[in-house]
Amino acid sequence: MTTPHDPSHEERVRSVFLGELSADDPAVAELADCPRCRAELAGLEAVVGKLDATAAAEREELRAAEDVEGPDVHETLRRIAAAEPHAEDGAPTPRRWLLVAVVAAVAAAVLAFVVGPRLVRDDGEGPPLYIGDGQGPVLTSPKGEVEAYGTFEWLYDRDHEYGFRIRIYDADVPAGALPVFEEPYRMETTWTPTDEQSAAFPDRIQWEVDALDASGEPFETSEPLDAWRRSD
Amino acid sequence: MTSEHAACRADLELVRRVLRGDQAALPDLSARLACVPRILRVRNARSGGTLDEHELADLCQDVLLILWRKLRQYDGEAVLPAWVYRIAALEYQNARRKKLRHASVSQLFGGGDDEEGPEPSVPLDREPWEFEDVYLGLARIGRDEARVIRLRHFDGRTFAEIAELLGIAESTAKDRYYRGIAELRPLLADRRSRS
Repeated sequence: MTTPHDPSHEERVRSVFLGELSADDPAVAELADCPRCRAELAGLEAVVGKLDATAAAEREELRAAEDVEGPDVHETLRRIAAAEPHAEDGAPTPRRWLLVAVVAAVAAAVLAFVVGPRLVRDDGEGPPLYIGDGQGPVLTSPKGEVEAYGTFEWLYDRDHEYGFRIRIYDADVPAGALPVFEEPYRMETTWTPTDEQSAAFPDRIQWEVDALDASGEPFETSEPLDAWRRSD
Repeated sequence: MTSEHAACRADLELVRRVLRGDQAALPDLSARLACVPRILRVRNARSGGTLDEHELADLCQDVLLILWRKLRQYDGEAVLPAWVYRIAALEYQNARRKKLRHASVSQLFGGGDDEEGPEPSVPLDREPWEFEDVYLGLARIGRDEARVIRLRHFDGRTFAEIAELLGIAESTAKDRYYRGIAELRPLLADRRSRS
């Protein structure tokens, strides 16, 4: 028997999915006869299955890792901590690590033929330590006066897989204001807003792009770029 | 309190000491992060040994640096090795994909300037890591929703426990969970269709 879908089923689907209704509840039987609700529940359960499988694999792999030999990480961590100390209050100290990075970059240039372009040695002892280049995405377009904002484009030379986030600010609003628009996730290095989105942007914008790391957090951020629509 | 919860609290206190600049805490943190090269080694073995020892060592440094920079985000809801695993496994997959792509391009163009030709040991399969889509999907949905889902599925907590831990009503925890699963659904489907 097939029961036609009813908007009241939506809440019941939620209740069944969350285990709030017992199997012998008449509402459950009614949902079982509704193809749309059956498909909805199957879709949600598929997500749960994938989550459970991922969690089980994670636990199993962590257990397996306990039986594997691995090198000591203390010296590497000590060198990272020395290059990028956390402040007393727990806040990062970007200026300090940037200074270290600049000094290290100069040293790396001198040692390039010896240790390779990606390696930095801070004291000539222990394994080489790569401390990042600090270069975020390089924004290319739109820039300066434009007819229309069109497609947003940027360059990023790190081989990264986790995508980008675009933030657009009103350039006439003081720094620190929230973005007027945010495109939360893109894999490509271009983004074309819809006509409706573009029309809603301020006449003068400042935009930035974050490169995201494995957990969706900003790993590196571009320098901001200003653009404005030509006013005729 | 279960032993796992106690371990979470101990890890959180350790991280806080490190963030306060307590140098004496660094060896303890190193001991907890000793899992990084081991996780990478297991992941590599299960992915066909794509990376060599030197590449694994480089990747280990990269992962430790990322973990160091993200240390303030550790909230003690999972033990440190579990928190580390999610980042290390994704970074491994990124490095592996990069190497496979490089090897593929090298073969396409006859090995480039490498006289010995492309590395024969590199498998050219493009089999995606089965669980990558879940981790990336959780990173893309609402943070509150992802938090509840992680607590429920990865840490095995009940809705009542989640509610107590987060200081919210149990019904709110359920709402966030249901909303998160619904948000995750098309994302997982999208990734599957892409791969």
